[in-house]
Amino acid sequence: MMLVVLAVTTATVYLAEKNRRSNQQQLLEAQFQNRVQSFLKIQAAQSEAITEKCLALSHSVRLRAALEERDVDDLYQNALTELEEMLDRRTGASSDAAHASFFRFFDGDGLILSPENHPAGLTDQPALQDALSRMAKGLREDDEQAVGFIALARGNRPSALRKIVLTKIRGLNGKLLGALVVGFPLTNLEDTEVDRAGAIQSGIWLDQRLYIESLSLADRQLVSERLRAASSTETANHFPIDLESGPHLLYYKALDPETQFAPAYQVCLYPLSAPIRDEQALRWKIIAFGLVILSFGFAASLFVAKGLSKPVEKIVAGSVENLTRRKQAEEDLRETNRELEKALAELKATQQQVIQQERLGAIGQMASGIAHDFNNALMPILGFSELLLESPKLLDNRAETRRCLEMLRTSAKDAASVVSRLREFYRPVETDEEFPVIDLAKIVQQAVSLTEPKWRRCALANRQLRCAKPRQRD
Amino acid sequence: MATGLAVGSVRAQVAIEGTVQLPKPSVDRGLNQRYTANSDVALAPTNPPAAVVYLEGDFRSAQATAPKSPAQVAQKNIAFAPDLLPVLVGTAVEFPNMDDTYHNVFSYSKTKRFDLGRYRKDEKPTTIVFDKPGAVTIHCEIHERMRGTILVLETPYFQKTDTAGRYRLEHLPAGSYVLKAWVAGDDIRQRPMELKNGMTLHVDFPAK
Repeated sequence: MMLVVLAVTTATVYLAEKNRRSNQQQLLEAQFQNRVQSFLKIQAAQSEAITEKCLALSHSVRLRAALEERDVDDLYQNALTELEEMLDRRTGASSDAAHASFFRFFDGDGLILSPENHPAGLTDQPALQDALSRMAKGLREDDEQAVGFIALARGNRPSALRKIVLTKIRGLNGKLLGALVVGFPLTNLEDTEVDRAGAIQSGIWLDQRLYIESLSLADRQLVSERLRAASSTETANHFPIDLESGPHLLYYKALDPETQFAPAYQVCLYPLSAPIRDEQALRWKIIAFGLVILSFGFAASLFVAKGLSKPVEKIVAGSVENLTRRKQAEEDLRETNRELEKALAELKATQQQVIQQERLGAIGQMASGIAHDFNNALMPILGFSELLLESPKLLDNRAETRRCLEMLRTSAKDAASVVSRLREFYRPVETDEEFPVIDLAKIVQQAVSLTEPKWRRCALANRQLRCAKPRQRD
Repeated sequence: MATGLAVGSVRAQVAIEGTVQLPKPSVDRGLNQRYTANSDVALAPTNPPAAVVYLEGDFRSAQATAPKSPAQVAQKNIAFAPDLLPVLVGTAVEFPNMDDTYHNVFSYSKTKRFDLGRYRKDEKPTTIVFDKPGAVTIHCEIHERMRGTILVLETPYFQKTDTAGRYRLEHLPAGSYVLKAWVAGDDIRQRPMELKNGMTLHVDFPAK
């Protein structure tokens, strides 16, 4: 859950910043466009009267006549009469009507006709001659009237700028007689209150020179450099710029892209430190909000955990009871086991007894068989011993006697072996008992000899038995 | 036209005649129609071309005096009538208004700078004496198409050509002179002349 809250907070911070940035951009863009539009509008409104007046003046018979006659005094005197109202600064309370600050005439070759006796109101700025002399080419253009900007001083104050209206003057036959140039200051270039509050700096970029009053030298150079590069490719754009006074967003726009004079750009520097501060504030707000949610979540999880722990405790209690029970059961089991073991031992003893009894029973059963066998063994003994006793002649035959005696011994041994086998039967079997090597051929021979008296007259025995090499039991 | 009389002991007359090739009537480009004056201007006749042919030389010995009665450049149908007037130095010229509108004749020419101000038909403006030789371009401040020239000459021997450019100068003195044809302020054609009694010369001034 905390991860979710963290993720949501991060995402919110990211989205909010992105949103804010794009909003900010749009806002600035709109603000700048507004500024340019209003600037152009005011300029147009202000210069409209002048352009109209100049156009009317270009048809003035007196001006034409004076130009034709190169009557400079009459030329300026007449123009001054016509432009007096416009040049009069004493009535300049209303800012709607622009007040011309100077006017000059060019002749048909583009040379400035200098007024010899400077009539009142015809200001003669030191740099004016210089600035105007570069406008001569304007006379070669097709337009009968052109509007542009010039700078009167080498400084960077916008007050050095003049808007100029150049109007060609032609004779009745269309021949170019000269031109009238009227210049007037840009009245609405001063910073507005909004500008001062937002530290927005605006000015004009004219002829590779920046006219913004309150910029440091380094900043001015930087802005100029960037503008030079940017304005060569596009007539309007914006880019971020890092000035000494902090990051700014610079907007520029060509005021009159098709002007025949040096192109003038409206330039606006919007400080980004305030938006960045706002952005940071917003970020902190969101993070704080996320933390609050996180702590709420933590509290909620604690609460839920508490609710869940009750049955667990029950289970724990039950498990203690279970343990004692189990121990008891184990004890019981052990007891039963002991009893069972005892019973098993008894049972085993009983089984042993039963086996002994069985054995004894078997001995009993065997007794008759044994008696028979024993009797069988005794038979040759009796028979041969009686034979020897009853036939004394036989005793002379040493070989025969010896044979009879051997037969006796074999029978006796047989009897002895019956007894020993009998003993083996009831004697407990020893696992490590060694089996003696038995000569089977000898046993067959003995069996034949022992039983010979019974079958001598009716069968012949093949005694040819090879004696195999004795083998150990595997 | 009015010719300064050359009175002398010359019995046999010298005359020069010929043709000055005139430029075509200037065509108004009609620039900036919006600022052209009212329809009366459109009705104004285009200036019929003409030139002034005059003999230039030292005529102090036979000092011709300006005529007693003033010459006239009237304003008629929103145009100067005549729009080219050659006068001898010292001639007075009056500028009567024959139209029903105001006119304001003035000149910024260095030869003669004057400004008559606005006046109506029934007002009589000042008569101007042209006391320096040279061409004086006259304008009407109100009607931009009105344009005239007063050619102030130091010689009594001059004549304005007809619209075809033909001229004939008579009663000329013998001697070395320069015959000039004034066509426009920037178009003055000239020929050096050696005049002998009893001869009649034919001199044409082709376009430059």
